[in-house]
Amino acid sequence: MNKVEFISRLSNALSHLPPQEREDILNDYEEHFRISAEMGNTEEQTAQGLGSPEELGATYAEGDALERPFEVPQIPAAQPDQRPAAASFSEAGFPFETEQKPAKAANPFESPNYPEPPRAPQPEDYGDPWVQEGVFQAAPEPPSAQQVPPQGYGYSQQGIPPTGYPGADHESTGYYDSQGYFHPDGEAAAQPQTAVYAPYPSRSQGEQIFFTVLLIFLTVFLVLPVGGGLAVVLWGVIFSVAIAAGCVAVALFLVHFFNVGLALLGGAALCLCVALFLALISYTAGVVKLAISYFKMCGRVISGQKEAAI
Amino acid sequence: MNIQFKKGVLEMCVLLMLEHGDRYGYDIANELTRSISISDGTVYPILRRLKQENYVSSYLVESPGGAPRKYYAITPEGKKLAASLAAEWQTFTQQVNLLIYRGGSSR
Repeated sequence: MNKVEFISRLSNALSHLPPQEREDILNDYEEHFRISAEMGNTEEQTAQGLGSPEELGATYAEGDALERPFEVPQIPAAQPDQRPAAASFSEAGFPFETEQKPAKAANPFESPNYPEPPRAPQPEDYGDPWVQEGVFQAAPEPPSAQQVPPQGYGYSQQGIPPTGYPGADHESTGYYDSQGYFHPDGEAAAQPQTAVYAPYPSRSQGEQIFFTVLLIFLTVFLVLPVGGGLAVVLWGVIFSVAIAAGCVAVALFLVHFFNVGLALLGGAALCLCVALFLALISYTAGVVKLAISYFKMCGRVISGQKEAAI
Repeated sequence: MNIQFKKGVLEMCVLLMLEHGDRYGYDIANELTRSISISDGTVYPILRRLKQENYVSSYLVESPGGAPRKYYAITPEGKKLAASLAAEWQTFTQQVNLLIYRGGSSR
């Protein structure tokens, strides 16, 4: 089918509409063909992608009656708590179960998993003294025990646990997750994750900069001068292991594995101490000798004597 | 995928796409049919109806090729509708998923 044929068939399918509207609609498709041609598609390809012109025409015929995908929930503006008079209980027995029921927002308490709250005392429980003219609104005819509880909070009038809700026929123990949904014990783990989790929690800019600077500091001021001098000896090996562990620990901090990072840091500190201690022992004697001869030399230079062999 | 699922969701998808920026009809149709396999033509009746109900507005932009392109933009009412449709969708899919994974009846 080419463009002309598509447009003419669509025009026929829209013949019930006023000419202005029809032209408007056809313009949309003309533009579609035009842009599609600019993108390098042939008219046949475009027409095929658009689908059947008769079906499209029928879609327009539905007009305003086109089915809405879902009822648009009327999310009410925040209203002050409208509590009815204290003595007026609805059939459901809960004071908030009045006409002001909010629309079908995502309310965890209306989820099918929410177990029934304990049965509240009913006016019938207290007998006649509670039925007073003008003070108490007598509850309407109580539902029979077989009746499925109304949405939200169901109460049976005879004290029998209401039927028909999940867990009605067996004890259900479990836990509530962060969204208020009830998960009974032994539930299969195949729950879809509706929340989106980042792979790692992100750090703030400041924290990242701090850790970067710390890493640089460790490298430049600790590793290079000391490690260079000690690298050739045994405790140099221990020392470099300590430095490496420290760097890995910092890296782990950056990705929030605090426990492992702390452990590594502790190990690194220990190795550092051992290495420095050993270095100190071995070098102390040599360093002292070196210092003495240096100062002797300085003394000779100052006093003008010829340099003696050190 | 079931055609009924797709049709119900198209309006929401179009609005959500437009929230990220104005686009012309062909562009919307192209991107939608890439993610959901529907025919390009289904987008235009939706755009037209959204425009009639003022959830979306349109304006013409001259293109260097000569022919002007009709760009669609979301209105504040459209944004509200998108948000409420998305919330309804979340609830709906959660309930359906519970049905599927737990095999019990939901209220």
